[in-house]
Amino acid sequence: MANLYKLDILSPQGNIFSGNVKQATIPTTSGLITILAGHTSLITMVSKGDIEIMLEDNSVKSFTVIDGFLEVSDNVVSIISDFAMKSDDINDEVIEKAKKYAAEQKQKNDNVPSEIAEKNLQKAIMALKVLEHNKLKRKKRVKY
Amino acid sequence: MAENLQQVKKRIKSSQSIAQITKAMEMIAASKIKKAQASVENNKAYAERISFIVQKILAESTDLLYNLPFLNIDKNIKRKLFYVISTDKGLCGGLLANIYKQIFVSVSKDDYIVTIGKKAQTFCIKNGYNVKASFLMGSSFPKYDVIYPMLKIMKDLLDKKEISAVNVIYTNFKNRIVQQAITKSLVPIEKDKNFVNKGDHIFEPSANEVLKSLLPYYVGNIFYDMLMNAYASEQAARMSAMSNANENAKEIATSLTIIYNKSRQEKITNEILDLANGQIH
Repeated sequence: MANLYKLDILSPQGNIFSGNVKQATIPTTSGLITILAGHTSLITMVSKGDIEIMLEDNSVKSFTVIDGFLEVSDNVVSIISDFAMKSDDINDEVIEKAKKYAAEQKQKNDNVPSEIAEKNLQKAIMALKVLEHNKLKRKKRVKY
Repeated sequence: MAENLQQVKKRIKSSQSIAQITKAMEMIAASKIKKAQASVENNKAYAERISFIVQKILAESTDLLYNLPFLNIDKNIKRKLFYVISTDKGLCGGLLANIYKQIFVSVSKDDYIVTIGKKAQTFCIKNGYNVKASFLMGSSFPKYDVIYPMLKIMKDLLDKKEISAVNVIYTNFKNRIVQQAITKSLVPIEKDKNFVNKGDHIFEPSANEVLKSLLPYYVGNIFYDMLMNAYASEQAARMSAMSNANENAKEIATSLTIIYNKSRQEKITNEILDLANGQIH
């Protein structure tokens, strides 16, 4: 029991995840890191990719993030990101929407700052990747 | 008498249709406010955590930060930048008047203004303020993307060292009844003195690097929070203004109906009296 810590994943859309976990693997700008209970205080930047969380009952949950920040102190870990989502929530519909939105923005006017267009495109690409990844996983599960 | 009756009838009809329209507008605002309120509340935890982390870093690394954007600005520059977040349309009670009051109080004619919403734009231009740019508020809930072009102006001006501070005038959403027009400082970021330097954090890659990307993020988030607040306030103000208007219109309609019935009855009574007395007008 002692080896648990509290993890919050926060985004402007609300609390994506909040609860006690055993371990979490997070993509940061300086590489993948895995955080266990009792980790020293740390502040770093999150890059894009999958966050994998192991819960108390050893079940694994995965989330997708694009850019954000990670803070560890006193056995509380917070991940803040303006785009974070449960990987299972990403489906064809979400991707279509993201793609459409990105295309719309591009078409609307060329004055849209490149950061926005890029971010939207990244979202679409990221979502696509995750979906493929999930599909692969599902296939594997069926096979074995 | 007959003409008068017709006129009263007309007025009854118009006040009834005003009641109908205001009722519809009230309902539209009510449906919009639900989403806005939820978004404001959802964002709250996130915004609080970001400012918590920023304050923590600021408390821990005191002397590292002298060349970062948003933190240290030359105080000799007198000019400031104001963002004014208003609405595109009127019919929202005292909300706009309160914002105008704030503009009068806190903005000097020398300062730059960036307006968001048509109403602030026309007001500022009319009163001879130095309007740098204007954006529309839009009638749907503002997306996060809209803040980038708005904040770009601030970044450019800060880079050129033309301004010493950035403030935002907007309407803070307390609840559906209370909204308050306030002026809030956005840049420079102020240190919260409640945070003590514990000095136990490791920064990766470095405190400077983290802050460099965290601060714009932080400012953007605060700004978006203000935008959402302003939007929610607009809808709330419109909702209560429209419900008041609706009640007033209904009241007028009932009092007019009473007048109409009375004068109609009077007319009939007069006619009967005329007949009874055998007099013909």
